[in-house]
Amino acid sequence: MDATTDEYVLGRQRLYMLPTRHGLYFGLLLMVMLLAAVNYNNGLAYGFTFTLAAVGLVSMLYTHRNLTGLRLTAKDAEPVFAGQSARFPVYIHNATKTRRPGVWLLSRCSSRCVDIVPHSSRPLSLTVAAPRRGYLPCPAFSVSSAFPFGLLYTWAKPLRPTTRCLVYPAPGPRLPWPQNPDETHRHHRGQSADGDDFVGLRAYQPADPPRHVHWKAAARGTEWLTKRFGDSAGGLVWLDWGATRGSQVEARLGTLCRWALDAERVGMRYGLHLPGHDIAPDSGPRHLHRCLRALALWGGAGV
Amino acid sequence: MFEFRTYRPPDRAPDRHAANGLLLSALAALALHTQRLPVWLMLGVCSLIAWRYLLENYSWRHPPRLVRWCLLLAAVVAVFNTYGTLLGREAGISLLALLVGLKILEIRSLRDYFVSVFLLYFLTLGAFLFSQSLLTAGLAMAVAVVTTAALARLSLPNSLPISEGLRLTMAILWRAIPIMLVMYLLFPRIQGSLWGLPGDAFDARAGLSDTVTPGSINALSSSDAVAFRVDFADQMPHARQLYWRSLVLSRTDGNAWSRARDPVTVNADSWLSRGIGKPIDYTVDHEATGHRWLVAMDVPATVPPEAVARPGYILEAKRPVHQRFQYAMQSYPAQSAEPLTSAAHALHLRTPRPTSVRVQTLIDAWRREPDPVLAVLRYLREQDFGYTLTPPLLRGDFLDEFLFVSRRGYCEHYAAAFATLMRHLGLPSRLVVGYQGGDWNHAGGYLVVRQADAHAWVEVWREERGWTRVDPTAAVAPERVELGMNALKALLEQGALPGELAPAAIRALLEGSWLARQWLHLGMFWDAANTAWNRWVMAYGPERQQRFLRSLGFEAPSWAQVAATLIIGVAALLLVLAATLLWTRNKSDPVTAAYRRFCAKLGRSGLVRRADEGPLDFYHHILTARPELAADSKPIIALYVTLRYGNVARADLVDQLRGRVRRFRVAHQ
Repeated sequence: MDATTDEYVLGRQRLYMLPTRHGLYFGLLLMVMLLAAVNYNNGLAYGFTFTLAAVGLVSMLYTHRNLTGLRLTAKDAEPVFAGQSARFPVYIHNATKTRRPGVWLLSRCSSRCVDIVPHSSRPLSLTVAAPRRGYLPCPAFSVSSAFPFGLLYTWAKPLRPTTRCLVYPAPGPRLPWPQNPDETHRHHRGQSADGDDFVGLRAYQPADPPRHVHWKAAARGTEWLTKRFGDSAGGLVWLDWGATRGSQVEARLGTLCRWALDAERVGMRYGLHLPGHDIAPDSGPRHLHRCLRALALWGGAGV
Repeated sequence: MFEFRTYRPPDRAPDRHAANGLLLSALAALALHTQRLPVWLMLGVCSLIAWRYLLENYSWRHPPRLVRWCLLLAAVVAVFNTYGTLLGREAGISLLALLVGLKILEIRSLRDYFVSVFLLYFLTLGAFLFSQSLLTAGLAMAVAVVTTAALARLSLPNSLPISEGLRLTMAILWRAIPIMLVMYLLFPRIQGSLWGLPGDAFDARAGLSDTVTPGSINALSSSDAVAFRVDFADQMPHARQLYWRSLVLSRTDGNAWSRARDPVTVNADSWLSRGIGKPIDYTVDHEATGHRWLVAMDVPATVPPEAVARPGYILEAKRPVHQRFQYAMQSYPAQSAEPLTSAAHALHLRTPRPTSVRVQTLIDAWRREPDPVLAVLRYLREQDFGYTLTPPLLRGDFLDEFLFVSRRGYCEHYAAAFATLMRHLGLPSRLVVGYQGGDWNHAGGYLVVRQADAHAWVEVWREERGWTRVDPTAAVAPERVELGMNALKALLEQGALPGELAPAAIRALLEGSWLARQWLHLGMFWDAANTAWNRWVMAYGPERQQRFLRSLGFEAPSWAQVAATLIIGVAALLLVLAATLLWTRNKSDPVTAAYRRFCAKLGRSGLVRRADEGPLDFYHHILTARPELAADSKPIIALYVTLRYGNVARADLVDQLRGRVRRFRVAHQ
């Protein structure tokens, strides 16, 4: 998988500045103070007013400096399942010797304020809800700061990184394993179906011992299922689109996703049959990711 | 695409520590007004602040809206009761202080905090309506720093420690000063005010009045308040010449002396041509008096542009002197005689009532003398007349009482008595009121004249010389004129009798202790600092600004020119500041700097990194072009990539990178 890293350096071209509401009030205050100074012809009042005005002007430079030279890197988020929240990592690097207090990382859905000490990096993240499978693009975000007095604020032109988050389908409910050659293969090897490890579910048969019944599922009012236990090592299962029931694509992908997770958890080897896309049996996190990615992107979702 | 509303930092209510900082600055701003605000008000505002403190730190309940409205109403009523008005300086400041307290009590949102800070700034400004001294300025600046530090702490969600807030404020303030000075010096000043000022806008000040009764000048003898200061272009004239005339009083009812009725403006062009002797150039730095009359050294020859000339070599400002102001003057030691009209002659001979028999006997005796003026002076000197700071109260016929009963008096007693006698003797005479002498400030090189130096003397019309100054006080107490009022006061305190001491004895008496002298020196430095301050802060009005602009090279500065200069100046200073702030940033990244040095070393041997080459591409470039350098380059590149892209900040790795770059050698091919 090709990880994307987008990098931005905050320079003059990227930064904007405006007074805050309080800054506008401050301007008004200065005008009133100046009127008082003129009316009373009071030299010290002039001096005081102009001192505050000059402090306001210099603070403008400080506000600007608080963001200039910061380097932002946006990276691809770790994959999540649909329905979870994606967390897009954003690093703010401060390679300068000036401390940057009160730096806000803002996006449509989250805001966070950090204080970045000199020569350091601050790992942050943008959290976004990931409702659907496929690729979720990183939301536009910006950094902003009203340092030092809250009278002015500067912000970076919204950054729209190309980074994204792969969203797997939401795993469906636990369902019986697909009927496939593995079952027979295992029995041929004469292995007990009553090992210690939970390996999956199958439809209830009247002879199943009650303690293996999946009571929680039964309580939800779905069909009765029996938990299957066994010594899973070395098993092989084909996760087949055709073995899933129902007419809804997302539900069927969810079932496949659940099977893949279960198979990976019990250490079985598993392959994936999707219409037009096959993945040879294997196991391990990389393989799992390959399978889930195929499920996430199946049908051209989010590409 | 400018979605700035979305990208404004959200408002967040500050934490407890930031709020406490605000309370501290509120107390500081209130302390500026301790002398002026009534005690009940100070206690009231302090308890409002204390309430807020408890609310903030011990989770007391917020007072309900009704309570706050009641408090506001009570505050307004109390202020009205105290001052009888809600307008004007004192009442306004009192109301503002109470509003600060109430606003602080009701703070809920960040907006309330900002409003409180702005009110505090305004309260600080209010102090300048009462005093513009150097001390006030220093204290107000300290309050402003604390308030601004509180502001800095309010706006940062992760509140800064107070020391950090102060440090930041000082750093910004320091950089703001040049910009402030440009704005201060160039902002166009206008004469007068935009709208009518409240009646109490200016303090009543002790000073001369245009009517002199026995005892009226004496009332000033204990006042240390400065009346004016003088800068001489050359050397200071002798103390005997330091007669500062302010008013000429020609009418008398036998007791009080006042000015001739309708004052007319005279053409002063002839003054200059009548001067006799070496002209004396000086600048007067006049304190605010609330009156129009100014001082000029005897005998003025010029009229400053802000003043008009009145008969009797008197200068009168065009508007009351509410503000300290400066004017340049030229005087001559004497003036040639000018003719006296018959009307003026009659006016200056008018005496209100006949004298008593014994005074008339004296007058008749003096009339036979060749020079009656000298005769009267001799009489004052030889009889047992005495000079005192605490003259007895005279009742009835002033002249008779003074000449035969009390024989003790202050300058105005002698001057009034002498002028009346002259009129009885047929010599036109008038009373001149002003100041005499002054103290030389060594630290600043100028003369300080205080209210205590107020003096009255007499001018007598002589056919051959015109108006001639006669100071009868000098006949009784020559020390008053020779040594000055301060010395005379010191002598009188030590029980010496004026007019009877040898100069050496006087010097011994005046020497004083070492400590007293040091104290005197310290006082001089303080006064010198204040004078410089006054010149640039309190006296910096339209006239002085014009002079300053001319010294900058403006021939006839127009309003638009000055405004343009102001804007350009501020912009230039901001640019310089921006450059320095950004420059320090550029040279400060050690990782990039080390990598640049590394690239430069390779560049000198012909292996130039292309602009688009990232560090890894560059490594491959090295590997193919100069494989023998790859071994040394690899750790440098790796360290650089780690430090630059790996999101680690480790000083030891930075040092390692710099060390490796330093040791990196390229053998030239």
